Amino acid sequence: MRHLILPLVVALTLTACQDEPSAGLKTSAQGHAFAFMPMPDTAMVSVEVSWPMPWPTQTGRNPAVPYIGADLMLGGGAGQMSPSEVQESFADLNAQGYLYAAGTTLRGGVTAPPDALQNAIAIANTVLRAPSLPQDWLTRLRDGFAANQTEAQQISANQGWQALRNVVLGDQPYNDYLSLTDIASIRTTSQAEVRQWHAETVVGQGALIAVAGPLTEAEAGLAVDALFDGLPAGPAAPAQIGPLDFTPRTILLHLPAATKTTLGLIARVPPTGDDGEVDDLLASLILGGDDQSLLFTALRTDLRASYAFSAGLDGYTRDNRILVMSGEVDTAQAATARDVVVKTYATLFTTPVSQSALTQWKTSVGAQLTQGETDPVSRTSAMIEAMLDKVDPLRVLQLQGMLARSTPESVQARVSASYTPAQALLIIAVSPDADALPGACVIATPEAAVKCP
Amino acid sequence: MRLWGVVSGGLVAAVLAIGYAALSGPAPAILPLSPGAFSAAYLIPDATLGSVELYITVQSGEIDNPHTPGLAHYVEHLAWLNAIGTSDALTNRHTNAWTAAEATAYTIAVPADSATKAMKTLAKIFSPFTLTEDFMLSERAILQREYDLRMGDAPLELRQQALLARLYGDDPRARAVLGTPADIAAMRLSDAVALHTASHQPGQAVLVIYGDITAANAQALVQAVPINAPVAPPASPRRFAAGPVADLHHAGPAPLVAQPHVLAVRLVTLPQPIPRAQLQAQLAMLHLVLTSSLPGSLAKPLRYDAQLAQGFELSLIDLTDQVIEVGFYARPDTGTTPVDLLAAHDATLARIAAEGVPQDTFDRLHRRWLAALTSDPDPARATLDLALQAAAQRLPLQSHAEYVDMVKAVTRDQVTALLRAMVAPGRRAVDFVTPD
Repeated sequence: MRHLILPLVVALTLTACQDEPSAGLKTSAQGHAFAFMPMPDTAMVSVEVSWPMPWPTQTGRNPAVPYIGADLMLGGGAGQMSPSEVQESFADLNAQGYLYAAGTTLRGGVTAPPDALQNAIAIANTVLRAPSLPQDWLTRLRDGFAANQTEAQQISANQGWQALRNVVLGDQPYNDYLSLTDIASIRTTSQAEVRQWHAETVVGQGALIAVAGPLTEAEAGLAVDALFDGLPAGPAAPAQIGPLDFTPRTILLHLPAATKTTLGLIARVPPTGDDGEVDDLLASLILGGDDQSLLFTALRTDLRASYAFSAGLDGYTRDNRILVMSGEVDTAQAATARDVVVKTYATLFTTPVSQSALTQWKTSVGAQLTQGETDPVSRTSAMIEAMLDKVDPLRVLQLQGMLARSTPESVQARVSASYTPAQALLIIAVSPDADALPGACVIATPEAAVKCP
Repeated sequence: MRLWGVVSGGLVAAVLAIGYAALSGPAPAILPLSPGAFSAAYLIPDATLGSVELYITVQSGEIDNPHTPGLAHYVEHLAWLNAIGTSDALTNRHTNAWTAAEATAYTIAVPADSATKAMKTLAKIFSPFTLTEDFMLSERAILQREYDLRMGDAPLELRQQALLARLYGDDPRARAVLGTPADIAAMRLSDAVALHTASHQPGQAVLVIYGDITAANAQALVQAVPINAPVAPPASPRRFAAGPVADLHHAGPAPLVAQPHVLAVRLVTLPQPIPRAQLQAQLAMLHLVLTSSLPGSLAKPLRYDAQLAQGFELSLIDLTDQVIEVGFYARPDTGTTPVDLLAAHDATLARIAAEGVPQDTFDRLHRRWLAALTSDPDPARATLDLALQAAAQRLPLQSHAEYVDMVKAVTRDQVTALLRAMVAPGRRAVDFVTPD
């Protein structure tokens, strides 16, 4: 009968947060600040870190290095451990270590049962402090990465997204990092570059840290100190990204060999970190979250032009979030489909979303939030995200309340006040038919998109 | 390249990305219900869910389709639209459907207080189509869009389909569930209606009810579906020896591919039948051994001790209690040819089979697997997944606890015996895919 017990548990947790400083921002014995959330009824401890990573925004840097470097640190062995020994040691502990480049941050962490945490943290510290970064694994990883990127960039839809990045981000290094069109730079990634990136990024200060699970504050502090033990001082310089250009355009990338037409429409939405974040999610789900959504109904059920036209939230940077409406469409109906999407999106501004659709998604999202209340990984991710937004790391505890307060009117008000108007969307089509979207700026390569007015 | 250059979905998205859940509760049960109109019905209670999920698995799939290839998938689309997709009866619900070789499945998830209405809605997959003919015919265009989505930029998928077609020859498993664009264009509505009538009968379907519902209320849901005249289940084709024992080699470039690939799939006939549940547990253990980096694995010699395979996937699928499909899908490291990589794979498997799985490796991985299984963060969901997999394979359903017992009983000798059967002569299709 946990459905009856859970609300009580949540209430007690919130009460506990108010009565005693068990959850919140803490400082370890070695002086590392970390967000902490005790979760005594869970089976795993999660320790998560976000390092600032200015590398992708700096001129002259090899943009492939953060991706390859993170994989090489994890896969190439560390200290006296071979690649195999790192992998098998984590597995023996029923633990996991992870590391990946995400925008201008390097994200990583460890999950482990409490009784294995110390050993798992020791392995992770070795990976962070003394990765082997061997040449043979570097060669393997960069060859594989180069091949994967080459394949990905031949996919017609991906060329469309690349064209959009070219107009939005321009020629700044951050676009090179996100698009990775220079395959040669991937293939020439050197040990020296990876070592430099590692030395500048994986440092002992400046990182955001979160810990959650069945452990005490003191144990969490010890885990943080052990994880950061021996890392060189920092912090790295903050990332600087130039202005983005969301000037409305309609672009058609003409690829005669493409097997299908893909349509994408982009609206700018506000950054995360304020109470409207939940309304943003609900708006995107109601617009294109499932088979009852506005776009699915309009494009598939009614127009019969698409298998699954959807909407979702994404972002070029943390401050530049976007609502993406996209899908494959019948080439012969591409123009009509574009018009239908624009018209459907416009209704969010003029009409409150239906109460039944809102109720459906509030129920669904609420259930997932409830699940997150017993998930340490979800909690550490949420605390890191909040800190990246420069708000209270415990803001996650307010999400259910924010969800409960959402109404058709609040969603409409959020959209009306903050979203790109329907007549100012960025529109991209990729099609074998150059005439599929009358009035569009027709280009033959993604690079040519910058010439579109 | 990232699709959009993803940075973050923000706080809400982070919370919704669920990883580990709470400590395990009591072992979840799988409770047989009186089947009513269905061939079998089960309840997997999970009071923590706060909602009810209904799963109907029609035990008929593409291998039972005597018409145009891919027609079973068309029938699935029409049945779902007829019952759910065009219905306004339920607004607060999530739903899905899929078609496979041996099964066609439909699911709907609703708040607990809507379960009865959901059952009545879902059961309409068995009802004659009432959609307009024009609408049903236009669904073929949607199938074409789905084909575009899934296969349009997926050359390796197409090559794998061709490989399986060569492997299975005249066996119905040679057919692709999605069909080809030409197949989709050739589909006839009358055939779809005939296949739906023949296959979509409650008497050849398994119902699984999962979630926040009592046994009595679950039983009432079963009884809400009227009992039709019993229909004999379709005979399952089992002609896996579709040709002589041989290696069927193919090689050539593929568009959009930038690195060589090895695709190799073998049909293995075991010396003796093994009950399917036991066989699945043994195959899962063998998979753990071969994909670890410990002595006795494939990965250690191919990926860690030498730079031969940049990466590989291994699939071990039980087709019957005596026939398994073994798939090896690999990317060679720079400097290694696909031919050399497959030769190294064959030689390594032969050596491990001759030497037997090392006891230390077996013990370490067996212990690790049992620890992970018994600390599963969501054993009720794990039980559901096992149940649905069994239903789709036309097998009896078992609980998570029964599966754990099955895993405990796996021995090193059993796994070594499977490995030895895998290296015996058999029918194998191979494709060396090269960059265009």
